[in-house]
Amino acid sequence: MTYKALFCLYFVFVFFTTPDKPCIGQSSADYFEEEEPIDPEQKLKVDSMAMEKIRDLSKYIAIIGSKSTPFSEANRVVSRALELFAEGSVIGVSSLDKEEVKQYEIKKYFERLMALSYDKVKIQWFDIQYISDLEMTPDGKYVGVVTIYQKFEGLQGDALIYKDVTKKDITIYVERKIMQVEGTHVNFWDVLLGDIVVSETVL
Amino acid sequence: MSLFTYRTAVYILVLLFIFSCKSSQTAKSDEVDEEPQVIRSSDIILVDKELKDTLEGYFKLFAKMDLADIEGRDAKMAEVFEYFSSPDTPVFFALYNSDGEKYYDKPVTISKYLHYLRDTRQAPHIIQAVKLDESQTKITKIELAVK
Repeated sequence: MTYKALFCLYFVFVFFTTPDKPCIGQSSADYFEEEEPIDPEQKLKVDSMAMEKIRDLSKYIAIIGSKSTPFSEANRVVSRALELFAEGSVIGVSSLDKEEVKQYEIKKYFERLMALSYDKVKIQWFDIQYISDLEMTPDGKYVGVVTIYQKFEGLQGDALIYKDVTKKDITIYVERKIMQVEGTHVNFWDVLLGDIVVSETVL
Repeated sequence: MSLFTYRTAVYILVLLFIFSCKSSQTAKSDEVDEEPQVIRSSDIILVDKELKDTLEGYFKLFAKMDLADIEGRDAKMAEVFEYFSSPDTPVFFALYNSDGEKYYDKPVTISKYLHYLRDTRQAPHIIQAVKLDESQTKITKIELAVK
């Protein structure tokens, strides 16, 4: 009888101690077999949020490149911009007078942008749009591609020395995660930008 | 029925009873969002209109702030921090509700949020809720949503 009682108590114990949800620090990626695609209305909100990160980046790049930005401020904005990227991401850099597209680590790219030898630099992104919608991958993450056009102008004094327009494709990774804040679980969507690839450079 | 079988049956019935209690609790929490929740005083989430207007006013101010005016920015940040328990107070961006769970953008600190407003030249959010500390004077958590 004692064995049976212990056996039953064991099941009661296991029943009440088995967590219903992932533990702190475990992202939904660890549970991807349970992931279901989000409904279209929710996906629209996630799409829009991810797109906003690209727009944020465009503003950060304009500040970093601007010669009127104090050095300490540019460094602070570089740190914020780097937080948008997945580790190891690279960016392609092209120019009209070279056929080769050089690849730089994102941090290196920002450092080079700060050090450009013009008196004034204007960078503007426009026509930002998805060319590949966010799609769910087998591991539960979402991946999409956004294309942007970047207008670059470098001036010495008031004279325009260099100008180009570059079409770039940016990979976006979106993942549902859980974090703990003040003892409660918070569900959030983490957006990270991946490689930025140059697809065209024109005058 | 022997004593052995009788006891085993009782154990199984007890297990079934516990299981049915837990299942009904889960079902209840899934389907009823409107029922009043029991919350501790420290969990009370308020949106005082005056506080909301003041802070949203600051958000708009940061969005229009001159990027070169570092001293002005720092002075205004210090003013805003007076309302918060620390510059690291978390800021949440509500996206949507699903099955009773709220989903957010990645949280940031109030310090980073003010920089964000100034850097991006926009104030796209409204305040949905704030959580105050025990003294009801400092914000320990703030929740925003896109206008």
